[in-house]
Amino acid sequence: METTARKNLVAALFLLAVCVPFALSIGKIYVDPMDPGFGSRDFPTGVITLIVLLAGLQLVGALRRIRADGAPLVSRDELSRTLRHAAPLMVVGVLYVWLVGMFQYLIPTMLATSAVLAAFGNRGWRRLVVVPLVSAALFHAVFFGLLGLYEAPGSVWEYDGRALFGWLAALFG
Amino acid sequence: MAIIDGFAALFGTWQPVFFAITGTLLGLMAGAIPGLSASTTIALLVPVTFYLDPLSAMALLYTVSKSADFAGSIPAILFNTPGTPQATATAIEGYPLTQQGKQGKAMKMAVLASAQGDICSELLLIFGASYMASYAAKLGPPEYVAIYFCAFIVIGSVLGDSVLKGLLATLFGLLLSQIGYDAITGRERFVFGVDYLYEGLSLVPVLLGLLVLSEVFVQALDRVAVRQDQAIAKESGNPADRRLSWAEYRRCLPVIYRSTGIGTAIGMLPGLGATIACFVAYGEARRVSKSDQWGKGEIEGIAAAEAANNATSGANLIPLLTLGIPGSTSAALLAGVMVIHGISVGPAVFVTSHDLIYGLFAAGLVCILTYLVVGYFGSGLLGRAIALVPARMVYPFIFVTCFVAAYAIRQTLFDMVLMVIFGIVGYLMKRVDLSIPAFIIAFLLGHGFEASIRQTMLLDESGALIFLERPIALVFFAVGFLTIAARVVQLRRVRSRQRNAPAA
Repeated sequence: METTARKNLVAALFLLAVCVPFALSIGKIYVDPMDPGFGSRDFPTGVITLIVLLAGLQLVGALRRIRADGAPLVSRDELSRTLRHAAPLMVVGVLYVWLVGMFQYLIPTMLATSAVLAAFGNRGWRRLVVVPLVSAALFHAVFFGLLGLYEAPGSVWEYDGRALFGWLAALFG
Repeated sequence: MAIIDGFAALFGTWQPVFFAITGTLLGLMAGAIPGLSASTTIALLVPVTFYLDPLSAMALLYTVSKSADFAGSIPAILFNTPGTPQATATAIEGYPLTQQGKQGKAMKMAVLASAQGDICSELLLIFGASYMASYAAKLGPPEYVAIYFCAFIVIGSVLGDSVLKGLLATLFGLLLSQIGYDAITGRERFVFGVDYLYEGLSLVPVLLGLLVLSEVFVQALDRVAVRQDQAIAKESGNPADRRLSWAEYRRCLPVIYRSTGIGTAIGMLPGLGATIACFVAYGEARRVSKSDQWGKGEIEGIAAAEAANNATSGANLIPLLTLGIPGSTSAALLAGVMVIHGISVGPAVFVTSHDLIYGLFAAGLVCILTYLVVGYFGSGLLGRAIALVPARMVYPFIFVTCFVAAYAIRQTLFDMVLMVIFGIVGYLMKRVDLSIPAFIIAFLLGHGFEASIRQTMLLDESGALIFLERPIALVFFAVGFLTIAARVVQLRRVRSRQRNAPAA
């Protein structure tokens, strides 16, 4: 019961948070002055209103139940499992995309494959070095060779100083 | 007969039939690997379909979905680990048979019942869907508003353990469908200054993130809690234990017919999928039977569960093809691919894409025949082969594949970023039990729903009162409200029973 209440709480908070930027930009939607009926703001306004109402209802219910059970708001076990096992993969995902933008497909794919194999408990140089090397080459050959995908130019390989150090310049002025 | 045109389209060139058979084999592998669902495999294959003609593309995805429904029974019987959720009931009777050395008998029953259920459902689709579509084509925008409303309510309230969370997931999907150009004014909505969002959230990265990447995160959390590497019990030396006799098959026939009816009826209703069908059919077969072997390896149980879960696969397409409303995640993915290939989803499809649709049905029949042959003679071999592939090697490759798959559509890094964001969102949704299928279906139908409302409001000056003049629309509104009321009552009863159980 306590776990369900906590899940309901997180779900309600998440949906309310998602609604904030949408609610703030609803006023920016163009309304056709000649529109006689249901305008372009009305549907999203209705959806946001319903989400806020239902998520608010869920939030109140979840908080009441958690208070009644005297349980902590955050489950440390769930949080620590997510941080130890799932969050590293999410970080790998973000870094992988960033690295593809910098170094094109091949090298980041080898690194990401190796990292994810390690995260899933694979060990040894054959699984962490040879398998990523061969598989990345194979992926590259299939998608960029056989299927003819356009490979985004890596900013590092292009020696584009602006792309590479532009953010540093912006940072330090 | 229209289906003959379908076979002509399917066999007209080598590609459609080749991809139908390839899809069947891929589905058999995907279904047999626990944790890898049909919808995950379909989402991974969606980018590949851009390089195929529409019939090959749809045949590939449709056959993956059909054969994976059957293949889930292989690890359920051999390892007591259902490959797909709908094979859970099969494991209850199948695994005890494996422990008795009778896995050959169990798997032969599973494939025969699956194929029989699937064929009946496919025949209903072939001969019934076009008639239903001809009636659906007469419906106007007010009826469509009511149908969308009813579908959202049914899908939102039936999927999952909480009506409120199901409805919230549906509303979340509707909200995100609003990003991009407004179809009527042509002005942007909710693009937040990001140019890539002007055409809306790209479907494929969203699907890959929600269905595939989030599953990799969940599997990492559970440290791939699949028990594939365990040994299969030794098969009995008695040939009678390995074969399925005619007498045993005949005894199961009434169960198969009844379960096929249950599966087909449930499959036609949006939101109610194969998992519900297999448990309803299994429960009904157990209730009617006089055998005392239930739970210890009753072969009728396998027949009931498998016939029912496969009978949903053809019937699932009926709401999609007649009303444009996908009844399941697989049907939603198929709808997405149809839209990407420029095929209109809804009743008009039988007129505008006649050969394509009947070609798809023909691909379904080829798929059933293929998995019947492969499954009857090679299920054991497939099970052993899958057991050799360690899951900790499979998921890292799925992780890397989904990135390049997301990139392949528009060839921009933004789609990879979008996929990672939706991977994290999908992970969160799974952990807090917000229904992803409800989100996806609402996300796909959001534009259609809004367009129908706006068209309805333009039809009559009376505004929403127009619905009172439309009896069909009123019926659908009533069904929606009754469904939600019935579901709330049902969940309250379940909770009060759970509360009373420890006290008792």
